[in-house]
Amino acid sequence: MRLFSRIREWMILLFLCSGCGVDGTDPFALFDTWHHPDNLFSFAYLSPPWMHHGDSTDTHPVMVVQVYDELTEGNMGSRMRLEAWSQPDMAIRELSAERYRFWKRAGYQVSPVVSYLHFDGMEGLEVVARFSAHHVHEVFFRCHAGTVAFSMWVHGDDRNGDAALLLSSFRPGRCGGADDL
Amino acid sequence: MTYEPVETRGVVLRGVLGFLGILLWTVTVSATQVRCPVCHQLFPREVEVCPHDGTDLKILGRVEQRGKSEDGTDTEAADAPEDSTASDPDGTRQGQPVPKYQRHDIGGARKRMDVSPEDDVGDVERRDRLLRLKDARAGWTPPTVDAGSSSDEDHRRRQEALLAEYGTAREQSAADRQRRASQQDLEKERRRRERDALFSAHVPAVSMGSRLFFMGEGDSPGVTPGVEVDANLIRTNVRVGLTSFVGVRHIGNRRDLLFQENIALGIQHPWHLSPFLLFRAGLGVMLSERFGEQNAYLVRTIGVDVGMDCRIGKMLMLSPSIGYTRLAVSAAGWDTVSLKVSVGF
Repeated sequence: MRLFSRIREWMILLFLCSGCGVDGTDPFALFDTWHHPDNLFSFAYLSPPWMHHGDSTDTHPVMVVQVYDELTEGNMGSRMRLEAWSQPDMAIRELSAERYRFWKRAGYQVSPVVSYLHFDGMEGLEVVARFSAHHVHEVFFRCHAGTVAFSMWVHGDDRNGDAALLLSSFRPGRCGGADDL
Repeated sequence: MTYEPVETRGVVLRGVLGFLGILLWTVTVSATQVRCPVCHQLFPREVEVCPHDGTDLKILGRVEQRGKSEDGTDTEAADAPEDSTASDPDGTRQGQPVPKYQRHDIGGARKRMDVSPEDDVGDVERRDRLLRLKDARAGWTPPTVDAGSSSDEDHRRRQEALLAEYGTAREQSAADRQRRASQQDLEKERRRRERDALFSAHVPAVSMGSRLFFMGEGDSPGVTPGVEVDANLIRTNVRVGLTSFVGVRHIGNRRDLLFQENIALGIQHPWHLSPFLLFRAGLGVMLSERFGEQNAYLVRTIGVDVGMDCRIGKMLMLSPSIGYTRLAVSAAGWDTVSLKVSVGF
């Protein structure tokens, strides 16, 4: 009888407190948030399907979606891949230019570096590259410790806009801006 | 003309003597009476059966001289009651024995009115005599009694017979009570079925309809139309049912498939228009394509519906309702207002 009453109490609590924490209309309501240990940046991810890659570290998270071996054209080994990191010794323009050259060398069609406006009002730079069905979106923000970068590699079309939503969730912790653009 | 002398004297004398003899015989015979041994009433000798009790006076009657019995006592004095003067005030019976009983055929109250004249009067009188006297003198023979029987044994037998009769009566009474109880139960069951049938006639057993609510996300309102099937298991003043919902949530280009199974419990007033108030709680699954993969989320729902079942024709019922539903997926919750229209059978 005690077990039944416990179960009943838990069921009542479960239903009464269901969804008490987060407003469901928030686009990131079902997402988890990853924070840099030094609060340099943060981003939201949905798990599942996102999972940590083996190369992921506390300061350089790498996450992938739908790992498979067939897709090796970009040496990504998955359908989606994201990584975030910080470059304390580089300015935002230097880092964006380096990434532009990187994707250029990889054979991607890289669009010129453009400015990126976060929905919070922060400004940054964006690099967009494309190769076949692969799409790359990278954003850069200035931080007090240098530059923070967020890169998302997607195979296929982002029909639902989930990749763009996830990209928009990236923000520097102690934000600066594009002062040295 | 001469007359020859004849011995008229002797003839006359013989005639007179003969007449006297006849007269004396007649007087003697007519003066003889018969007393009934039962009612002690005197009757003329020509009466063969006592009119009071049917006693055969020819055999059992005691012959007495008028005014004297066989033992020489004065019968008239003995038969005459003390109030004979009161019973014969006009003196018409003077010189005659006053009967103890009033004859029914003269003026008494013993005449049986329930016997038709066509019946055998003798037989009727004999049966009447048996009923009244019930002794051997009326010709009734007592039943044969066993030599070994005693009054105690008879008493015991009567007691056993009474107990057996009492037991039989108790069993009969118990059986009657049980029969009445079963009849009452059947009556209650019949009334309950009639009531349920009356209520069920105005509440659909199964209904199918469409529910629309908004489960937004970001800028998208999250329009979620769906099909809902209701099965009402209990349709009295209390309604208990199951509700299955299948819908599609539209978020931009994304389409989430939503399944819900709810238990509905509420009250209603079955009538031609049956309003109801239902509380719903249930579980469900939301299949959502996120980042190119199908993800399943557990959905918990709790809500309330207010509506009305409206009968259309003999078979169909239209049930519009409006409801509030709280949906929860993990830690996220949605407060939704739903509209529902269903057709029931």
